[in-house]
Amino acid sequence: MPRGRRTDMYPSTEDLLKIRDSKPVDARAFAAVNADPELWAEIKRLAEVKDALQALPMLKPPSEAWVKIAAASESHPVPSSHWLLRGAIAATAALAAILLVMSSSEGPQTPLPSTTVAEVIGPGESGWNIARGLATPTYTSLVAESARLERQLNEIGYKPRLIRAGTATTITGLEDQISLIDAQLMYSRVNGLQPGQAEELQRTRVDLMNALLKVHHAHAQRFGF
Amino acid sequence: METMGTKVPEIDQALVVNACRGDREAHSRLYELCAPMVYTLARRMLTSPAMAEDILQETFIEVIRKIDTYRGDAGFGFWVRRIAVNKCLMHLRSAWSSRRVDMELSDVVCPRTEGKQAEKQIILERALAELPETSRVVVWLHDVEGYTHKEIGQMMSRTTSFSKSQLARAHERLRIILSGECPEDEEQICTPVLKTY
Repeated sequence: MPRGRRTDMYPSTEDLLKIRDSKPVDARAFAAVNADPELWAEIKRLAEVKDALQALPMLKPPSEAWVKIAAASESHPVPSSHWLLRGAIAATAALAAILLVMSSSEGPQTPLPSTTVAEVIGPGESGWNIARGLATPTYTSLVAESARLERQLNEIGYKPRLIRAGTATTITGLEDQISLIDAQLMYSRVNGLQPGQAEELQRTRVDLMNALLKVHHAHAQRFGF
Repeated sequence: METMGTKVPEIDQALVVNACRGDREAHSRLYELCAPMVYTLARRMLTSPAMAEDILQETFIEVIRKIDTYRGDAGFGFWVRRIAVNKCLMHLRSAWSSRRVDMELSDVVCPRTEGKQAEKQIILERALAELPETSRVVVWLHDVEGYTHKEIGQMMSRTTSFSKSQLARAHERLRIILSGECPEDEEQICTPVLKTY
């Protein structure tokens, strides 16, 4: 049987594959094949393997795959002629949320809703949450911590091209909440916020950033990175 | 291009137009038509069901996002297949893919033939999975998907000769695995295939 590289007289597997696929081949190799029934038998066998590979059955994709793809596509909408309208709706929703927070600025301060964060970081797990009852960190230190976490997030080298829909939803949810807080903080620069309220927003931002980091780390670990 | 192996579905142009407009129903229908092709291709090239599912997701997310860039030069199915092939090759190139070796060969297959034919197919599937990644990819792209050596070389950022030699190596290796002529130093690799069936 032919093995590896061609000798002067003996055709290589490459030559036999060329003959199998009706491709041009060295004349001496072709002559050698013509003179040797065993080589023809080998070409026939190579053709049978090719046929067998082509006859392998199609595989059925996992049944829930489309749901994940649809969810991932929904979280990052497809660019279309309606994107402006969608953007406007999203912006309106964000503005409404900001105004809602602003309108409650006179009342008792309540943390922003963060169901996803609670699920990710667990009850009382956050260092800032623990610190809250003992020594309230200042607004400046919260801003510094937020920036540190931001840097840490940026330093994560592993950026999967695709993540599972559940993880993607959690990440998108966290990022959306962070964006909302950033918008609120930006708005506060224009119209002003109660000092405690700005601090609360920064604290929530730190919690959200911590949660986001944990999700990224957990995902990276799952893939052995 | 010659159509073999994983069947490239024929897609109605109207469906593509609707999908371009963002019609979710059209996206879903395109998925139904193309998903078996993409998943099969990814499973054969990468062997891992989990990675194949990732490829399936990545491919269709890209198809949906970039559908407006489809120019109609080739059939839509071929466009989708090319995206899937590129995704598979990217996975193989990435450093972390080598750590995921959760190879399973017993998941749902449709429609599977019965008896001796089925047994032969299982043996061949396992032999294919035993090949080194590069050889497996080349033999699948050339012998089944019908890509030329030149195209394979380009897709893998290698030469045409590289593709030819990898195809030859793949067949030499397949012959050894399928015939049971395991060299002593390779006994461990070949034995499971031959013992199981």
